[in-house]
Amino acid sequence: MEPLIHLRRVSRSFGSLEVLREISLGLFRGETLALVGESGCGKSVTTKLMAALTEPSRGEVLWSGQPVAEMPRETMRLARLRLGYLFQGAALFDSLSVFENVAFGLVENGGHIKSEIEDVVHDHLRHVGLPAAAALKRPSELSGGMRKRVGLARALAVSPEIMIYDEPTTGLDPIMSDVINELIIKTANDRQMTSVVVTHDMNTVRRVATRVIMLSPVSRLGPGESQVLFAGPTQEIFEVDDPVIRDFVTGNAERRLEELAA
Amino acid sequence: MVSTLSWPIRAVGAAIIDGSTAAGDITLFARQVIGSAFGRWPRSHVLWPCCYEIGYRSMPVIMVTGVFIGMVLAVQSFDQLRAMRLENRIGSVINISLVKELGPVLAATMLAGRVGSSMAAEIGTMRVTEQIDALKALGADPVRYLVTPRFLGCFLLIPILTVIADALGMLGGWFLSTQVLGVSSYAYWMYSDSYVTAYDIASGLIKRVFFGGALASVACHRGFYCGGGAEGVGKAATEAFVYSFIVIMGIDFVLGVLLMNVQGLFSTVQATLV
Repeated sequence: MEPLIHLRRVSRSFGSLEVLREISLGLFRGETLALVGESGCGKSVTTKLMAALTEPSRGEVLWSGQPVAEMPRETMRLARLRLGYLFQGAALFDSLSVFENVAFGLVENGGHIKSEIEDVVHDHLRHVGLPAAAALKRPSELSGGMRKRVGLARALAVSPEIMIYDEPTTGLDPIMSDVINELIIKTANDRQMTSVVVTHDMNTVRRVATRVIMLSPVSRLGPGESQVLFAGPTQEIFEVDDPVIRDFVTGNAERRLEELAA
Repeated sequence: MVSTLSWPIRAVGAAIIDGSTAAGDITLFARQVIGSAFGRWPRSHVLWPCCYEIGYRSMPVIMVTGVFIGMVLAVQSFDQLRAMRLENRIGSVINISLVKELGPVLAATMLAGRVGSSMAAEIGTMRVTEQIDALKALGADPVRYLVTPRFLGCFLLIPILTVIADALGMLGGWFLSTQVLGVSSYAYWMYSDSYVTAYDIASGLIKRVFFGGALASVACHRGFYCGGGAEGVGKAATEAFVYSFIVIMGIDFVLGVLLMNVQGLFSTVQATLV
């Protein structure tokens, strides 16, 4: 089966800092892929490469087999609408109201009359559990959980096939984290959505993911070592014997503290 | 020893390379923005707030700047003109300086501080909070959505603002010259009229249009490619002002030389025809 998104031997550096080294991975239709790994291992950069929000230093990104780098600008702009992206801090437009934020993709890409846009916005606000009155608020008036839900409504409003969640539960209390996890599951089920979830939260991984990829920071790699520490079904990552993976999954910091002390 | 000696050479080389790279980057960015400005016109709900911010909100500062430029020119030139018994001609000195040189440059510099830094900080904040990525993800072109309206606002309104600054500078110069320094009002305007030519006004206007476009391109570029965090945004705002100032001075010099040669050419042709 051809992956919807394929990263082929992709590397990405920022100046002299190498964040990704020769990563190859595919995202397949219908799955929910969790990208995990310690801070700085390049999870968010990987999703930005997947969404063509940044370009690889080396290697190739393919959407349904087509190299993104070879796509004409307008084709890429339209193809990008197949992807929804929930940013880490929600990235709501400060100068616009919640309604305008959710409607943004529809207004910007045209083809919808005003009443249609209103219906879509209210449907999506309802889908993420926000009251209609929230539509009039400004992003600065919202809590962290509400911002994430508005970000999700905005991403879903353009009816994407693939949804990318960048640390959807970071900074939220356990109850709100669970609300977001439920929304990810509901969205994936209701819309047969393919999803990528970047997270540190193993509870989120256990609840929402069907497959997991764990990355290692490039700085920890030995010669010839792959940056992908684990790739497999969700259940397997919780049963692996590898001490590095086990420590990450269980949140055991002993070995790291010893390393730091040494 | 060799490395000690080569250090200044390397430092100068690195500065030249960095400067050339930045100039090239800004030029390519400006080309993209100009291309976009001549393509689809930005939506009115995006364009008008930019025009309001750049034009209307800059009026008080530009008016105060204009008045003071005129008055300072009057104070500075009066003594020297009086020494030559030419104080009645102060109007021509003030108004030529205002229309051709000081008016456009000082007003554009003031606007680089007020408008340029604010644009760089605003776009920079959007960069670090991933709002620019969000625009792309939602199918919008960030250059067309964020930069083009600001470019058009500066390109169209900065010339108008600097003309207002000039007008107030003339009045400021007139007020100080006639009410404080005792120059006759008739002489002030008569000599202004006889020395300031249409070509001076036109060359001043040409400069203003370039200043507006350059200011917007530089400021938006610094914001668009700003580094991470609050530090990156602060740096972008400072760089927007510093780079704009350098670019304004550079354009002023190049256009000054160019327009002077064009004027010389016109005079030669006119003399030949006569």
